[in-house]
Amino acid sequence: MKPFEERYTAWIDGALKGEELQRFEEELSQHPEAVEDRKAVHQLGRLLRDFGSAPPLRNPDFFNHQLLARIEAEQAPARREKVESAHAGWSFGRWAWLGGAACVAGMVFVLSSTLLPKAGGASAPYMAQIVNARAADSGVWVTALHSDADDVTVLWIDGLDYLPASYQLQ
Amino acid sequence: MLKETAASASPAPEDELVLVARAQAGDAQAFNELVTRYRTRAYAMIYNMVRNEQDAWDLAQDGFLKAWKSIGRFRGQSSFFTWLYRILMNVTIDWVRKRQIEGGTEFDDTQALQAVEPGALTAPRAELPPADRLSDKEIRERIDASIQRLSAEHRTAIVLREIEGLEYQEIADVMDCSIGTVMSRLFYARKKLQTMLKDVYETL
Repeated sequence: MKPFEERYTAWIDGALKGEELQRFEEELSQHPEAVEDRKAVHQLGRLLRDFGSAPPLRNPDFFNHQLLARIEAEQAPARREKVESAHAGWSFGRWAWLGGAACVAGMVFVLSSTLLPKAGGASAPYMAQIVNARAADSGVWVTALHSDADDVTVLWIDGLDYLPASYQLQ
Repeated sequence: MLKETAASASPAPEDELVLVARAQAGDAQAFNELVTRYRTRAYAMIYNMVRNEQDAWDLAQDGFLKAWKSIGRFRGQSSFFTWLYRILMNVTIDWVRKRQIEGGTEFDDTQALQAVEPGALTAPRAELPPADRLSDKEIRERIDASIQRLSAEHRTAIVLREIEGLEYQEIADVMDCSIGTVMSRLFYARKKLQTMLKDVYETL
């Protein structure tokens, strides 16, 4: 059986029905003051509704204005961080990427200076293939172009933004 | 029933969902429209709990700001106002509890309940001397003072039932407790208010 307080509250609010109501009213018949108390609770409810309601919201438009200002203030630091990170050159990802690209460039230069003959026209594409196969960063791609007439081999490295100044072709 | 919508459990109306979707995408003006729709109701509900205009204003601001920050979590399974209502109530209840602890006036329900026997059907004798005819302002001040003496849980139950007119299940949803607990809290909240306001409502 539900506790007395729950049944009493339901009885006051008219929420008890049928058999449950009948049983409870039989129980309450021992307490004639219950009817008077229910009347008192209803009077209390009317008092709270008639006099306890809130006053109107003063300056409602200012309420919105102030709230929007707070929202704007909350968003401003987040926007600043976003702008700063977009312009920042050296996030961790960028450093890692640069490191991989530098490794590829280093391999290219080592190969060009030590492993290949000076005239390596036919072997330049082969060198590019070796470098591409071994490149740590798949975003970097090497193309080799050779001109016999000019005796020059050009290594075209795609995907490399920055090359340390200390790296030099031989 | 939560008066803003047909039923607290029904999904949000379509135009409201459009505004919510825009707000979820970061459109503060769409959120502003939602605030305009519900600010009066939100303020009134909070005022009924804290009985102070400035506090109600500040808490309503805090509640709406919290709603803005968490609007991404609204899924449209209930009305937007129901979802907002819960946020506002939680902000307010937390404030009431904190205020009572900081003010050293934490309402000890166990102490107060010793004066109210579960089987007692009539309210104990009023603590205050019988009131002469009070002005409306004085009546409101008596109500404010009496409600502020209730614990957060009893205050919430009585305000949501008697002033906001919510059903037991709706109160249980807002307070995240069982219907039985709601009814028990109502029983004791009514007894306490009867003790404090008996002289007021009997002379009206």
